[in-house]
Amino acid sequence: MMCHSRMHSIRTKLICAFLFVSALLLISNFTLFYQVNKSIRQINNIYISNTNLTVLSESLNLMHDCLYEFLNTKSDESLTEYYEAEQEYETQVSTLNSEIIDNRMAIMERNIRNMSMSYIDLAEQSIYSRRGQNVKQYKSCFELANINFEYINDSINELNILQFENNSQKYQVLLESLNYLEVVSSVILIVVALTNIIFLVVFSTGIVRPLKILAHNAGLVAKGNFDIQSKDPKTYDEVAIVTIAFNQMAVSLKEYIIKTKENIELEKAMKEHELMMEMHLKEAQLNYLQSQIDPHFLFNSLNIGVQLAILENADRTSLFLDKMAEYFRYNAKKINEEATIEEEIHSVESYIYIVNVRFADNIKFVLDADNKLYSNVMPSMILQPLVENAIKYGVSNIERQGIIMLKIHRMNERIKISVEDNGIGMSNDQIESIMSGGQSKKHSSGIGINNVRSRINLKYGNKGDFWIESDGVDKGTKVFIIIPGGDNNIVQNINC
Amino acid sequence: MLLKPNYMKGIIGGMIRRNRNINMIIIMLTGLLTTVITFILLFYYIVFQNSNSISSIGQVNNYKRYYAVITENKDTLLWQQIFSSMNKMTNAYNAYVDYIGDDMSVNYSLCDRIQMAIASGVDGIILEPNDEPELKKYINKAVGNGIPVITVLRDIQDSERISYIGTNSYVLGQIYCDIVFNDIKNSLKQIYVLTSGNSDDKLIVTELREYMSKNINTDDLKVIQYPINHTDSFDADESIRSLITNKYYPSVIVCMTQEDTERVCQVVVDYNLVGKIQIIGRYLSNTIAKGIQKKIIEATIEVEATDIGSKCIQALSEYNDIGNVSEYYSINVHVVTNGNIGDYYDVPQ
Repeated sequence: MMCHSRMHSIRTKLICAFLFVSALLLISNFTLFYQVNKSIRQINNIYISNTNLTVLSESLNLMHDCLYEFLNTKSDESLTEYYEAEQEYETQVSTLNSEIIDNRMAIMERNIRNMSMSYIDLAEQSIYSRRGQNVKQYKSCFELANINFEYINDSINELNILQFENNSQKYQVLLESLNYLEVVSSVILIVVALTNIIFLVVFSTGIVRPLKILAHNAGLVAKGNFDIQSKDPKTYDEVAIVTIAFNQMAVSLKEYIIKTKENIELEKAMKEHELMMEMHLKEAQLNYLQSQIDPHFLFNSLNIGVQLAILENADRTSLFLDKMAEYFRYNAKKINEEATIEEEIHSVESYIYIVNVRFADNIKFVLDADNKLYSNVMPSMILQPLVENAIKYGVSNIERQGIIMLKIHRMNERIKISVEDNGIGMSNDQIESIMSGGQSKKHSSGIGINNVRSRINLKYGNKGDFWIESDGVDKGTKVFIIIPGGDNNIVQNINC
Repeated sequence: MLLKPNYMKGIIGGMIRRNRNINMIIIMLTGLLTTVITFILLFYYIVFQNSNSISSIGQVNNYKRYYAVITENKDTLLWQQIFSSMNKMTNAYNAYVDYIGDDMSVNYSLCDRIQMAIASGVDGIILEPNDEPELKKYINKAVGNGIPVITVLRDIQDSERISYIGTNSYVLGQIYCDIVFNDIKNSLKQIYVLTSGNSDDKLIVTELREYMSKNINTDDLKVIQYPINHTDSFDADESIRSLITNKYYPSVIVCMTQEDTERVCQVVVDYNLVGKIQIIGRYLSNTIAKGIQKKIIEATIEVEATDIGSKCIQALSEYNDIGNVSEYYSINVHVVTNGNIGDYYDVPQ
């Protein structure tokens, strides 16, 4: 069973794919934007150091002019302007490097800074001396300040040139860097595009492939091929659920169809079996009806004959007619039903009596039966046709006395019945002909030996058996029947 | 215990499903990782390129002291070697060394540069003096401002410089005497020594004269001091040309500077006097080395530049640390001739 918590729906997958692709694009774009902006900022700032130095130089010149102006005129305005200029210059100078580091421009900045401090000191001394009217002193200080001013100006110019050269190199590097950035941006975008394409191909294949397999399998099922290779889905999504349901449906359909086929086969076999039984019964019934025009009429007539014989005191005739009536009554009643062994024996005895009247007691009937088996049931009209067959084809044409022996005994869970005679016997060919369903002659009851064999087979299948034995010509014939002898075949109350 | 086949199938199927999921995750993560790594590498490559090329200062070291070098001969091979050896010592002595006042729009004198160094607040000055008369005053001013000054190659003995690093004039004179009177086999008539206003040069002239008077007793041979004015542009070259174009040109010219040696070499070649005038030079350069190789110059006296550079830094640092330093550091000298030029200089073909 699929765990719900482990299931990744297609919607989740699509969101993940979108986020993944978007994240890649965002990262790449932000990186590129960052670099481009950085380069632009660097380009903007590249000559700012030159601008600063120019401003510094202008500020120095202004301060020096103000100093000169004051020393020249000693005006308060020029002094104020000087202090403003000095403040401005000092502020700008304080931004210069003051460390000793191994960089020529940085060292020049440091020198300019220190020289500026020295210049400001000299300028202050000049102003102080000028205000104190110390002419020699202020001239001397101004002279030194002027020299320093020249040094600072030249140093600033030199530094400006150096920085300009350096900045020009930087500018070239930045231009190259921008070109390089263009190439890198293209490479990054190509890499991102390829990554996204590979990812989307892999991802969409993961979604579409199970659908294709499902569609293919559905096509097979539609054509009636249920032997599909049901593979477990690779992913846990809606397609997987449909695939699993489809696979289960296919398996169920297959099982259902197999079961239906088996049922149809079984039903067909049963119908065939029933039809065969019915056919044989009808055949037996038809034969009987053909031979017995109206057994009930005959039976009623025979009963009237019995009553007449009793009125006329003809006991033998009365007994004969009674046996005849009993025989026909049994035939008329039991032709469609099962009968007990006892009923079958009575039927045989009645028939033997009739025959013996006919053949002047020339046929001896021997019954060797286990009376415990009398209540067991078996198909009716089985034993009488066999006995009739034995008399008609076995013992009727022999000089010696004919003997018919009926044996009924238990044999394990089965009952073995045999009808034996001492008649003319049968050849093997005759036996094979009869056993293979060859035509057998009909008897007075209208039921042939094939009919008996068929009914035994249809009734009991492999639980029953029927065969004929004969030691040869003039050595008698034995017909054997095996029927089940279990408790199921016992009838408690049988209506005669 | 035996497991049922269906149960085993379920386990194996589950493992395969899990493996497939893991494979998918691995593919996704590998793609993501590759892309991210590519970004990072490219990004840092750009940053690295930019930081190396664009950063205003770049990789820097901080130093405790700053020594200013002042010379007019910055571009000579000797000073390039000296400066290179100084730079190699900077880390050991935590001191930064750089020229000051050069490469400016105005060609400042050495005095101006010393003044500039004072105003810049350097921690020491390494000075190769020239003939400027006020140099002594500025050296003293610098020392007065607490900035120690070391003179290199030439000395101003009566100044307040803390130390002199160079050759001993007496030793140098002996070497010149040895070359002039022993090695040169030609008949000598006039030996001209091209001097500047420096006292060392005069000592060498004196040495030569003393040697001659002691060892060579002849009136035909004279050692003549020929002052060269280095302060004005082109004067030195004109002086040398006028000397050589004289009817009685010198048989030997002894030069005290690299520039004079190169000038004399060029003039001798220009006037086709190679072999007729013997040149004794000073220091080594590409021109001088070629001159020696072509036997235009008889010999030159070379000093150990690396020794000078290291001793300059060492002396200034010692003075700044303990307040005292030796007044004189001797430098080894070598006589470079046609026979041993290969040991000292790789002459370009």
